[in-house]
Amino acid sequence: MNARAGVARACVAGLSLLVLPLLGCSSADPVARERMVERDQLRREVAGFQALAALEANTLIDQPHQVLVSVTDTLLRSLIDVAFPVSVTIRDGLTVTLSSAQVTFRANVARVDIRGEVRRSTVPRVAAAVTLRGALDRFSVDSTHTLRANISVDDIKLDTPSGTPAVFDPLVITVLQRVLEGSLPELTASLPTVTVPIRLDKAMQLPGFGPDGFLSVAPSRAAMTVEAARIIAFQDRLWIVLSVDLDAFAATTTAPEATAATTAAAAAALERQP
Amino acid sequence: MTRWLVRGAAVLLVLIAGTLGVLSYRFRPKAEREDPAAVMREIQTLTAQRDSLRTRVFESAARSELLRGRPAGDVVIGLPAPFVEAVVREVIQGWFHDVDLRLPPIRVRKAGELKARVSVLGKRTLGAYALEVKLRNVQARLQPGTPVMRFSSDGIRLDLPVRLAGGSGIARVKIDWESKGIAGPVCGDLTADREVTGEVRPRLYQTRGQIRLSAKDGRILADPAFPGLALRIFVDPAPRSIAMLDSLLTTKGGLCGVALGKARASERIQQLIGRGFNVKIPQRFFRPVELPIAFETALPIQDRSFALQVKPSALVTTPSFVWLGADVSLAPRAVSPPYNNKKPATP
Repeated sequence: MNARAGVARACVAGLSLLVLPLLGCSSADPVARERMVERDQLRREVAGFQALAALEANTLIDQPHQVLVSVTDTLLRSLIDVAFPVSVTIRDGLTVTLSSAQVTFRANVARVDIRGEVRRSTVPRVAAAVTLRGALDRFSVDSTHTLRANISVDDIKLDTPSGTPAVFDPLVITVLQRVLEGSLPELTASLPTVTVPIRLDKAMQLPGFGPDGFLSVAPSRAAMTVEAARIIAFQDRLWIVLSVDLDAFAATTTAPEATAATTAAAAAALERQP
Repeated sequence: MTRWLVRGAAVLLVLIAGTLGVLSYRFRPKAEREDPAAVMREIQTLTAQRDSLRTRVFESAARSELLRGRPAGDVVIGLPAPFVEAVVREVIQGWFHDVDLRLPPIRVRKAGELKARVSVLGKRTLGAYALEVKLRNVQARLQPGTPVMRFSSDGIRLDLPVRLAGGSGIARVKIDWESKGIAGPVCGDLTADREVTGEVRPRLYQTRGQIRLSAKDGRILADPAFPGLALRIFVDPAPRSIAMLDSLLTTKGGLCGVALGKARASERIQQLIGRGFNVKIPQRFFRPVELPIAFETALPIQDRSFALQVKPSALVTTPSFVWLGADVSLAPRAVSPPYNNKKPATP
């Protein structure tokens, strides 16, 4: 009898020990969570404004070979939006469908909020709203001389589910939140690359003409190297400073473009000094 | 035995519970890891800091010439004056660094009568001469110097020194001499036809023009304009050739020699050529150059290509910038076949 009682006591004690730590898994205070998001956002804004303040507007470009490209948040949002919807299946039969993006450029923060929903494959009719909060970063000019940026995600927010509330109760939301946070790399990788609609040539090609005409010029070519030097998000626009290095022109072996215009011009070009 | 089992189970449970406790503490939500009061205090500090910095930045932006001069448009390309200057300089010195100049055949003529005082006979008509110089194969090289550009709201003014490097040419000189009066019976007529070589005189020209900027298909075109540009080219006959011509004429002796000597044929030839020739450089010679940055008219997004409608909104030149603005939107029915389009399998 004593032994049984001991076993029972041990079981109760053991279960209590197991339950106590699990209490730590309970849902985090949503207010505290929002405050942290607000704090992080403020930190970014302050850092952004500090960078802007240190950089006088007239010294945005500090090298003679730099050019400036400015794009509105509205245009970039529309370019990001066409890439949606994007669906990603992550672990535990969860599918995240991202459907739209909100882009805001201010305080030197190129903020991107992407909205969508998350569903469980076992209950496909019920979805929880999901918001990925992040920013545009890693601007680069790729090998095709296209200016691209990636969206990095800092935070995931799950909202009150639509449909049957019972399916996604607060505990489930908390668990889902953690699962999604654990799947950040997969979600980030699924996001579209943002392409800035600017064409950057790989080289300057100058055609030759003649030598049948009056003057003749050999065709020339100068290779061009472009890279993103500085990005600033300000006044609802993204300001991209590009470093453009043009090599020296060198004559190419391309056949010269002998045009009728040149020949005709040659014939009429000379006059005797009176 | 049972007691040992109970103890074992208890130890196991304690271990599991401890592990779970450590894990749940370690991976507790981010919001629980920080003191809420400290977070609130930091928010207040950061808000004040942000507002102060924002005011400072906006005031600075309002004063900025760079931001004020920017035209409207979804996409704006700003090319600083030093950048445009460098590109134009590179283009001029790279493309036009050594322009072949080859003049078409030129013919110049001069005719007249020669009168001279002949001892006691006084001034008499000695004869009539006709000089014809046909220049051919005149070649030279044009080498531009460093351009100086001035940016203003009217465009870009350009001062460009151009050096005419030395060249060469061949002239066919024909002299017809018809003796008249007292020189007639003695001299008779004379015709000489000789080739004379010459050299193009190196010279530096200061040309002035402008660069007209325009937008076409989302690109910025820089079109150099040098209206009425003409270079006066001088060809100096080689001294040896002239000496050869002179020696030919002076073979006639006596009165005839005097008459031909008075004619100073070589001097007249030099005068004839020495005034130079105006070479007009046709405007069509200066080709528009596309600047190496433009608006894109199609974009690859997620393996598909989207057409863009690009409507240039402004092309503005200020003393420090060339701005091109455009309104850009996705074209209707923008979606085209997949970007990396694969050929459909044939049935």
